[in-house]
Amino acid sequence: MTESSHDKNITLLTYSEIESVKGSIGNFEVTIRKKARSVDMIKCTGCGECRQKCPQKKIPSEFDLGLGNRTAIYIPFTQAVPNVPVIDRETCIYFTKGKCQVCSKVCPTGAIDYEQKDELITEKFGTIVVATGFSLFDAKAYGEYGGGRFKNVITSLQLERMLDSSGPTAGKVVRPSDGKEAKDVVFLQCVGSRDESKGLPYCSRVCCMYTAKHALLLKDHNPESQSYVFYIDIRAGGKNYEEFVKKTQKDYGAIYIRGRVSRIYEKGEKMVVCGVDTLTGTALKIEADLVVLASAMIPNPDAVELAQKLNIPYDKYGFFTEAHPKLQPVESVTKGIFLTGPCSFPKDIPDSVAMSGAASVGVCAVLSKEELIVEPKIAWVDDERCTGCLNCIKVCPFDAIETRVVDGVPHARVIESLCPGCGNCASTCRVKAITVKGFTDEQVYAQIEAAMEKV
Amino acid sequence: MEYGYYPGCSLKSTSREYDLSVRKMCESFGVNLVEIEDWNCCGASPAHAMNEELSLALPLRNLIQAEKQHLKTVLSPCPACHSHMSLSHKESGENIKFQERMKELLKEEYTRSLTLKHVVDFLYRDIGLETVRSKTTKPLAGLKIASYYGCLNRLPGIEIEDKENPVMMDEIVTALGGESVEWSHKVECCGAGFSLTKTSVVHRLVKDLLDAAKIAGANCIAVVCPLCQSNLDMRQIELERKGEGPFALPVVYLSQLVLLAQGRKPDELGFEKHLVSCKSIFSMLP
Amino acid sequence: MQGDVHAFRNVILKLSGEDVGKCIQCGKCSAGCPLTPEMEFMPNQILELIRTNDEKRVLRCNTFWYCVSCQTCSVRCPEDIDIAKIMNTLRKINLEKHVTPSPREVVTFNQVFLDSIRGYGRVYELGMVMKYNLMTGQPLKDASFGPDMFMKGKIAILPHRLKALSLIKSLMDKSRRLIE
Repeated sequence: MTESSHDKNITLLTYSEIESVKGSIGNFEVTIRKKARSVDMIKCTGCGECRQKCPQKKIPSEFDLGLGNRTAIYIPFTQAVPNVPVIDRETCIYFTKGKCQVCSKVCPTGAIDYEQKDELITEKFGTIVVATGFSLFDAKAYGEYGGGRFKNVITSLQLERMLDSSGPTAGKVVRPSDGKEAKDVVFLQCVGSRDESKGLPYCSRVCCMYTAKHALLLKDHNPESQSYVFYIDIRAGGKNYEEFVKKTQKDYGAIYIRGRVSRIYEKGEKMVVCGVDTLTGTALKIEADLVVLASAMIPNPDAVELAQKLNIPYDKYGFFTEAHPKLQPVESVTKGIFLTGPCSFPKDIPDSVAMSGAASVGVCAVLSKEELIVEPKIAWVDDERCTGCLNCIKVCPFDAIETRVVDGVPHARVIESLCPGCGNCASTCRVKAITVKGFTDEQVYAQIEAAMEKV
Repeated sequence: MEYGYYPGCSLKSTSREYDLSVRKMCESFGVNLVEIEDWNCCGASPAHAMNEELSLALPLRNLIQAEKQHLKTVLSPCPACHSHMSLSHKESGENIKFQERMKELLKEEYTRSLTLKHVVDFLYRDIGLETVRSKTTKPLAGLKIASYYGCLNRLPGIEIEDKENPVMMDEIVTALGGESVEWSHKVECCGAGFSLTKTSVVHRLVKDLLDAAKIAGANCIAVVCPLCQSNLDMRQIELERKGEGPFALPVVYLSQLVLLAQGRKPDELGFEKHLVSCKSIFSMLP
Repeated sequence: MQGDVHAFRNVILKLSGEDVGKCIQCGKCSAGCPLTPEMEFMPNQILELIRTNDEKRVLRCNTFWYCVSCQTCSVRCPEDIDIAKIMNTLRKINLEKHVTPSPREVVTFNQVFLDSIRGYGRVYELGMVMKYNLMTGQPLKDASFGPDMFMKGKIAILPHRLKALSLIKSLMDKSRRLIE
């Protein structure tokens, strides 16, 4: 991150959001909202005095997933780039009550700017790469696992923060309820994933591997610990992955039990986990200090909103759709927009890195050319027939049709760089003025007749 | 207000105190209960297990009877009866073949005009917590009650509230001035109909329930099902005779608690009919 | 397992409306079932036996007669399979095919209960319990509670006869065990 922030060919816009996107490949016009940090980025030296002196110290840290706190003026984590803080206006005493202002008093360069406003900038870009990542499914939906009420039932991401020696628990895996080090830890795989009743029938791909890693690290951090992993299947399809899981079981003592947990309840200080070993046909209960849920990887809550701004298709879960699931995994259906990482579907780090490399090459391929070669099977308008009803514009999901005045009447005109040839317009047009090349009615009928000949 | 009333076989026999307290409770809220004429057994678990058409036809006849009496709502305190009647009600709407076959068997038709209620639903939605609270003159302070739902919220045909962590009974108990404890077994199975046939199973499950209630600090268990009451009450005595416990956890009906909180005398409410002594409850109350 | 390997699966699908083909054998049903200590096969194993067409082993085991229909399995199944319904269907297939039920007492009890309905229209508890105890060779079971319960008025001495008893009788004669 630090390297990219210093590169002269890269402008890093952090704490910013996409406001709107117009145009098409080679000519995207993007409006970006640079949100107000309340800190002048040029004057700030990153000394950290403001964060030290801020009196609001007990705000749950988003990065530490509630396991630790932050101040109202904060940077999300120590290695954040740039090293310039942000004031959380919803918790800052000045913004909520009009008092304090300690940060501006202690800032040696006068970088605090309470009057700072959001800034909107509009610029042209040739291509867009979407790498917006994922969110974790909220396991509150499982009443049988406590519905979010049990302090000692946490997510894998929270455990990840605990295992970090510079994290909120200094590397100790503890029970959030009393801070005691956890000895018996139960891991549940497939929480949310592979669950039709929660609307997520898919496998989140990464959890089997990171759970094995967690069980291994837990043993390292606390040799007295014992891990139990409840799984349905172990997905370890990667280089050295299977061997890694085996090592966790064989050399690090993790007990793997095949069966999904039915419920978790509190009994005194312990969490009772009611599970089953389908391989021996035994229902069993384990009393744990801590329970870790491997929650499903889901799209971000604003994924659909972003997809609509970018005009890219997405699936029923909100994952962005590739142009072709096998042959074009890093391109969106919309030309010029590339996808990488878990925003298109759960994947791990090696795959995300590989995809990013592929997307970068795709970008170079576009930006290095003067002309764009597109598939010919896109829509076109017969001006003789077009009546100017413009219904096709209303149904085009890619905003790929514009108007052009012909003899004083607005006609439809296809923007060739945007049209992927989906055919929505062709099926809507009542006079067959707009059709998809290669898929005219006559051509489709001819295909049907040829196919029916054999019958 | 007039409600149809389906007591069911248990309430007329071993769970008489449930019937007694529900009637008195409804009276206290100005609800006039009209018992369904010539009602028959709903079939309960045996019909459900042995004969599909019977398990639907027996409850359906009661619904037909209720309609003949021009009743609009039917209250049935037993969750199993309520579930079976709700299922028959549901099938009547969705399945033409079913309707025709039932007409063949019962000679009459059900027009699906009834609303079916269980005691918890009735208290929470029809009467409302505000009214329950306003009629509480002797709050149940000192009572730490484990609200036990059993399988109520999971039974087919019943869609009252959350299946894993229901709160309606807890909130009613709180409105009565009692403390509804947080305990781990509020929806666990009591062994139901195995009371006579596989008593050892009931012993095992009931012991878990009683232990959990004790760990949570409860001094009383509130139930809304005659089978739960019988299992937790009668088999508690047996467990103690076998050397388990002691538990000393009186098992009472929610309706009895409602009346107690209204200042009614315990000996009018059937508490003496319970096998585990309820004297400890009365000594706790002011 | 050769031949029509989907036969039993299809029978269950037709009679219960549930398709065991959806099952991923996660075991959550068995993990939450309160009766697994008594069952020969756990619920997930029953579904696997149905899927692999092992009708014989399924119908001969005690699992579905030990099921109390608490619905825990059905409510938590991630594939939304109504396992309790499948158990209920298996009970009836077991009876239809005249396979000896196990444990027998459960069926005996059910029959005695239904006989009581046939006789009176409602369950005459005292008569039913006595008959059941006699039939299962335990005449004094729960007798110690008798006097206490009698004194508390919890036992109806005489049965109540329904006016529409003949309708109930005809209903019990004509009703079909399984709805196709």
